Amino acid sequence: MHERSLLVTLLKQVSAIQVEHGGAAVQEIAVEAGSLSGVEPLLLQNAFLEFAPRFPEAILSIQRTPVTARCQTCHHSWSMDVFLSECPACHQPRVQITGGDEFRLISVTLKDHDRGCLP
Amino acid sequence: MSPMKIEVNKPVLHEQQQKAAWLRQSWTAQQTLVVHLVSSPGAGKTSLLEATARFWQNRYRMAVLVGDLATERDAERLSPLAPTQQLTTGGACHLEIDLIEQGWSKFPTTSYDFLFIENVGNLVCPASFDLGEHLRVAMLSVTEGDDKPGKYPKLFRTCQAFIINKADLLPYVPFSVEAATRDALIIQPDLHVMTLCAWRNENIETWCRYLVDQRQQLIDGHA
Repeated sequence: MHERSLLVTLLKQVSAIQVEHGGAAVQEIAVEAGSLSGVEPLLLQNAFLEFAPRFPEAILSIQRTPVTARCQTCHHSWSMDVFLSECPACHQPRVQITGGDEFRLISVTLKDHDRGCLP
Repeated sequence: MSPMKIEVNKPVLHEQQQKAAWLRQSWTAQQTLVVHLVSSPGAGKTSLLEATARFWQNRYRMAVLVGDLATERDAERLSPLAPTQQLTTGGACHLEIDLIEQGWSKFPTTSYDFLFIENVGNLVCPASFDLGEHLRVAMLSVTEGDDKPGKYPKLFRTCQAFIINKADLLPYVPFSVEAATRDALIIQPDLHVMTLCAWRNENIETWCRYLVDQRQQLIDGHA
């Protein structure tokens, strides 16, 4: 879902971090794409290729995180790669998603941060 | 020189989410219930808003932000009935908070009891973008099939209400209201489900009463 437009938003934030740190080259952009985030890692990587000239030395590291949930009936917590709408313990449908539904920027690693120039 | 790792650990859409939360807070303070309608193209969002405006007949102050890829057709239908701003996305398949903020700023007043946001016809992408609403409503028409809630879990999980529209066609289509309701409630047990026919104004009173109740709860909760 909208991997390219999300990437544009993400890379604006990465560029701002670069500027804050004297324009050092980006070595790695680490993101987390939850299984319920709507972001497909392969599509995100493909979209990132378009921006390679702006970040020639950067790799995009995508961690896929499982969905975590908590049952509002029996309070059982669990994680799942595919969303299930009922609690595996008591089989009630009152499931609260507690994680795995976000697309997050985790960290930006700058190369040779003491010197560098903007691309 | 060694690499430097800068920890961020924030949602990529953090700024947009903050903006949506801020707008929601200001609407709450103004006692404006914001209702976000999501459906496939042609399920009846605009017809429902027309029916709502006609039912209330200015007893409540309502305004509409309506999103489409192109044309102002929906705004042309709604403007005679309620203050309306057309948000033309020019290609984007869903509304985002920046467009909402822009559209909202164009109303001559902020004193509305209800603000309706009619999203672009799409059951997928709108589920992922917070528009500052208090109430998110999924609409399905009976011609779309009663298996749809399970196929769009993210939308139904993030909604508070589910409207089954075009009930006048039930005798002619293989749609089970019971099956669609059951499917939706598995995903979101707290959904408020209503069946109606917008263009024939059938059961609009139930929908409008639900909205008034929701607004009263908003006011009571904020007091």
